[in-house]
Amino acid sequence: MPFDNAFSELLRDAADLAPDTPGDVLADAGERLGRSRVLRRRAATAAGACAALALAGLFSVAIQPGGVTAPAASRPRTNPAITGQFMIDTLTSLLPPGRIDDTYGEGSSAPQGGPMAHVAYDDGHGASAITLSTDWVALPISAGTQGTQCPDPTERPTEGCTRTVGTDGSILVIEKFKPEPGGGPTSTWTAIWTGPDGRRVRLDEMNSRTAGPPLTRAEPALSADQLAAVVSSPAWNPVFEVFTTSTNTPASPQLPLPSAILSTADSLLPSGIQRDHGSAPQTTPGMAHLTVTVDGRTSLLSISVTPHWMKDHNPRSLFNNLATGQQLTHTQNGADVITSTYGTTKSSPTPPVRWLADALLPDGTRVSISENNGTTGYDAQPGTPALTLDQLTTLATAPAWQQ
Amino acid sequence: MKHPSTSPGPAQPPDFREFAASRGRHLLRTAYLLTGGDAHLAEDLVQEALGRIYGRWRKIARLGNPAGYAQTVLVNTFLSHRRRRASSERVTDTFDEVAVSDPDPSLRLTLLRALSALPPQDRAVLVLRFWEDRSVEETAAALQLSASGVRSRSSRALERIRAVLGDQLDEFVRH
Repeated sequence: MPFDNAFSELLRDAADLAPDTPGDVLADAGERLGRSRVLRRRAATAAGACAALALAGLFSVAIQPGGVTAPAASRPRTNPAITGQFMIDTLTSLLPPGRIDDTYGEGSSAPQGGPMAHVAYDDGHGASAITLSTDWVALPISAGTQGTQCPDPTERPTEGCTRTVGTDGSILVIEKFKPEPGGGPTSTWTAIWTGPDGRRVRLDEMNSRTAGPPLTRAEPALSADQLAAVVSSPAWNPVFEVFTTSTNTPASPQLPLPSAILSTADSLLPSGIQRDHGSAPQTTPGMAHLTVTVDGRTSLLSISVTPHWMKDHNPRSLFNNLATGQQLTHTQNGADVITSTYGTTKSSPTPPVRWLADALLPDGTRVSISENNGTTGYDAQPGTPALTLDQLTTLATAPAWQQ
Repeated sequence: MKHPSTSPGPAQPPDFREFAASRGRHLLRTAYLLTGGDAHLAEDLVQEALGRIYGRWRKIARLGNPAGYAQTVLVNTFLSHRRRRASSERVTDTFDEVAVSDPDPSLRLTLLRALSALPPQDRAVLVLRFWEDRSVEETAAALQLSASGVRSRSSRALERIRAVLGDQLDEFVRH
């Protein structure tokens, strides 16, 4: 049994241990909590944050053993100044004049969730779903810190992206994503502002009211400049005075830069093979991609290089375990390599659209090279790829990847 | 306890109670995996997720796949909860070897412990991919990650699960 299938089966076994709470009881509890949220929202709008806090205590529910719902004590609230309503009001105050509805917010003292606000904003030309969220990112901020670089257009259809570094060291990235093939029809524009101390404000807006069909307008409502003004506003400062959670880990400094990976790949590819690094800068440490063309067939190679992979945990044994159900080969130069093919989805393994050579080199460097037809990673198509699986294997197991 | 549905026929979208009652247990099983086997927290999360869905039900009911939407709300509720908890807990990114010699003979209990040792987002990736059977792209969309991010998290998390389950897994795979 391949490991993926075995793991799915194990999950089903484990899920059988879940409590057997009747669906009606869960529905009851969800409805009560949902009603309390609606009342809280209305109360906060009508009478301010104080009313919301009082109602929150009244309507919290918990499931008791045996399936009976009963009131439960509300969790302590750390700072009543940062409420969901504060987040909604602050977001609204930063938007140009327009109609606001479908509001929802969570403050720093909500039982679950971070400070965020969601509104539907209509400037008179159709509603946009707008979600603003806050977070901290781990220091030091580096090229590998997620959200501080423009996304790679080979991974996701992108209409445009700008990255601006402020004089104070803050980084503003504004991304305009197009709908993905086979995905929903909405376009998403995202602005991510990261302060030098790690605070982050992010805004996502869509050209629909509900983040799905029907579309309400050709593009989301706020322009790039308007997005920038909202996420970089000092109006969010009070949020970070009370919200101090960081959930991210710093980027690993050991990973090779994309330029180094591309340089090695270039030196290893046979001279007759046409290659293209693409025009967009590649910034994610440890990863790089290029297209190769052979006899008119163009494929994307996505390369991941991890020096000292799992070095403290018997990497050779771990790697060999990965090969269950797949082809594992030991090369003469001491590398282990797993080769495999994948279909468009997990449940459709054929026809193959992705070919993978995954190698663990003698010095512990792991090199994974994935190949798919075309020039992007999100629209893989079946057909004969530019490089054979054997060629991918030769590439992945080359000693030149070792540091 | 079930309330009569207000839906006049099967062509109409279900009402909230009908939907929550029919999907609640599946959501609870998902939450149980996400929490690494914490039954009480799983119930809290399902309750919270259904509460969030209640307020937007009229819109959600018109979506093509409200069940899938509910699963995504649940996963995001879980991740939000973990972010809240992270101020008092340190989510370790180091390898957990404790369970390798765990004497508990039950493979599924060991799996739950292995899940609970993973970073929350890695857990969410595994649950969406291998319990919900979502594609890499669908998982990426639900978690606002890139497809390559989902692949790398999935690969890393599976390696850790393998390492924790050790020989027990090999035994299971052979059957």
